[in-house]
Amino acid sequence: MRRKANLASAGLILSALAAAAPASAGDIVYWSMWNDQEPSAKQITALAQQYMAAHPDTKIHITFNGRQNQVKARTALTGGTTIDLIDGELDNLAGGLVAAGQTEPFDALLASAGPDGETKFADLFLPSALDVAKHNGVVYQIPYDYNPYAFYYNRKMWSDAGVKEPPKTWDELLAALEKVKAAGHNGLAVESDAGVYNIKYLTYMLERTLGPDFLMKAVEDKTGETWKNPAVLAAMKNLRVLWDKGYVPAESKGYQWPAAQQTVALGDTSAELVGSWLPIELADTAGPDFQWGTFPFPIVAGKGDPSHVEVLLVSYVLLKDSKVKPEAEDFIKFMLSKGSQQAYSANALRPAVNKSVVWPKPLSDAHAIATGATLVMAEDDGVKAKYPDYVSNILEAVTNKAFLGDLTPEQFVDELSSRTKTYWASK
Amino acid sequence: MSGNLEESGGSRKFSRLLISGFLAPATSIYLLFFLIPVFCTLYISLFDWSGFGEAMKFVGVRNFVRLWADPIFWLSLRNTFAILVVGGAFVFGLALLFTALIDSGIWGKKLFRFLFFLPNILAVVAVSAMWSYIYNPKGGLLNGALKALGFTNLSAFLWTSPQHIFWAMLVAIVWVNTGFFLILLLAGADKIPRDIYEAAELDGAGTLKKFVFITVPMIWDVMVISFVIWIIMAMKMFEFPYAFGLIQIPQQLYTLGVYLFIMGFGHREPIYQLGYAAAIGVVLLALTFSLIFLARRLLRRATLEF
Repeated sequence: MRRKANLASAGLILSALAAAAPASAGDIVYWSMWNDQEPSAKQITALAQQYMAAHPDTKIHITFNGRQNQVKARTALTGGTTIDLIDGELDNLAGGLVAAGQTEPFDALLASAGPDGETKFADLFLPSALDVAKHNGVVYQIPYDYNPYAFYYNRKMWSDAGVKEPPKTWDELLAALEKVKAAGHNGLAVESDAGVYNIKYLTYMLERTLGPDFLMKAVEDKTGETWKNPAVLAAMKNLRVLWDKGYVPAESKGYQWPAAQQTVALGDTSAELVGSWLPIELADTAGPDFQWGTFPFPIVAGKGDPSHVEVLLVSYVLLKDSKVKPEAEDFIKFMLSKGSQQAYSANALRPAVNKSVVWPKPLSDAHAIATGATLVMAEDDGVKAKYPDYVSNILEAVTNKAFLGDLTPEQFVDELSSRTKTYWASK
Repeated sequence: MSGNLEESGGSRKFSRLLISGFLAPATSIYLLFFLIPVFCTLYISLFDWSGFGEAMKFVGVRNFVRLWADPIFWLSLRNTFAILVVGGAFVFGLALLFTALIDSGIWGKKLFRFLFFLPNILAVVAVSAMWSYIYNPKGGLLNGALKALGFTNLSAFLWTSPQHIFWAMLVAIVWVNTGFFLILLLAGADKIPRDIYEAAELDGAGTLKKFVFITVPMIWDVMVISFVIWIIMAMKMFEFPYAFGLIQIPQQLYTLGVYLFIMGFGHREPIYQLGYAAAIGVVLLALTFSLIFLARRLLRRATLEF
């Protein structure tokens, strides 16, 4: 089998040779998903230098590959390049290196003492953050960056429109958006090409009305019949109200990212359902005086729990072929320590996963959501990592079509049902 | 005499060796970076393989059977052919029109040539970002201009809505590529002796007749090569839809190249189906070769020497 794989990957080896980094025994080779000019990369570099100064015997070779980090690592690993530590979006790593059995479990590390005197390393994480890092019940990833999906809104605009408290129910949300609209502003920012964001309306709506396990059940039902649950139809009808009532402006159908989110920064639109990177991405346009608020997706028709949060985590995996596991694990502990995480959060304006860390001011409401979470859900309730081709080719595409109004809610249900059946038949 | 023959034979042998020596590096690189990967791709297409680790499961032609029943593959193929045929018709229609106009002896030939070629020296990401701004529903250049000209209804048109985004992208692709083929055709037209045009003018031929009966036949070889280059460019179209899709490439913009990338290398989702992606690559290669073969057969003409 080894010969087969080597033969098959002959073309890939050449590029891997070019990417191979020289490393001595005991050195940690770390490949990161950040681009080297991003604040996160600069902060990680600074922290690694701090670590090396305190541990003269260890050198850390960091390569910032950008978001295609795991794909580049795949090529390099096939070509025999040594990599010890990789970071990336948790769901992408779960569907890639972790699913392929290429990574080391962290259960023993998490049971050991934490970097700041915690009895267990596992104790320092925000509630439930490690639950989504499990694969078959074992933790294979250590998250360090925590992005809750929620409504990020212009607090002053809402206050001026007469909305003093963030909505707790779907009806309150509609009422708030009506007030914002009456005040002459757009309610919600939506980009037609950002299916990856727009699907959160559906995943949250289904989670609130049918529970956190429904989406996975519907996807795994080979007959496609689960999609015909009347609550699915009702969910899409609810979402279309946002467009029909004009809370999402009609021109959003023609917006390409980042056109709509820019309208939030410019004070035309009041809110967006997105991850916690929004205030950071818009910081330059919105300015320091912009008052960010965040509230969780509300309950719907009295159902659901707003403390159930869908998150995008950025995490570490340790390659199982690494020859420097103890050193790499020690470095991970250092990166998760309160001091490192506080510096990362403050200087890179990122939401840290260490529960003792204070997030930057624009994310203070988001931090409250994270600390109060009773259930943390992986992207698309775990479907993204387990059935990524289903999410990309069917779920996001069909949902986006219906959300934008190119399918009726009834057609949406039929399309999902039939495409699910075809998907499983082709397997 | 025989000594001269021997000398001439030895010289030919030396010449052949010298030529082979000069060709060897290029041939080796071609073998290493094209032929071997092509065979590797064919081999991988017979496996279910994520690319992680060595666990490759032989599935025979199952990846190709799956392609046949995959609606996204057919959507991608349809988009690719739309770029090839519809885009090609506009690219060559405009390139020929501009060739005729620029070659008619107008002032500022070099300036126009430069202006038309300009999009080709810009980064694809910059060009696609520019077109996104042009199409932006609110404050975009196109709708702004339409509004200023009094076309109020048309200025509310959503050029990048899901129904129209493919055609909006195709306009941008035509805009980028017309200049490239214009340069090729103009280079061919520049080599046509001027006295042929002068003779035609004495016989009363106008600009259109000169173009149809002199320029086109005499640059036919250049046109055929240009068609072949366009077939290759259109069939493997990837970077423009990728950049135009920005955060997430909408399915409306999928080409075979984009779909191959999505399935083999992931984008927003961790799809790592390298065997399936390789099958798309094999089909893409076979289609491209077939189309090139067909184009060369259909467009074959006697070569004009001048």
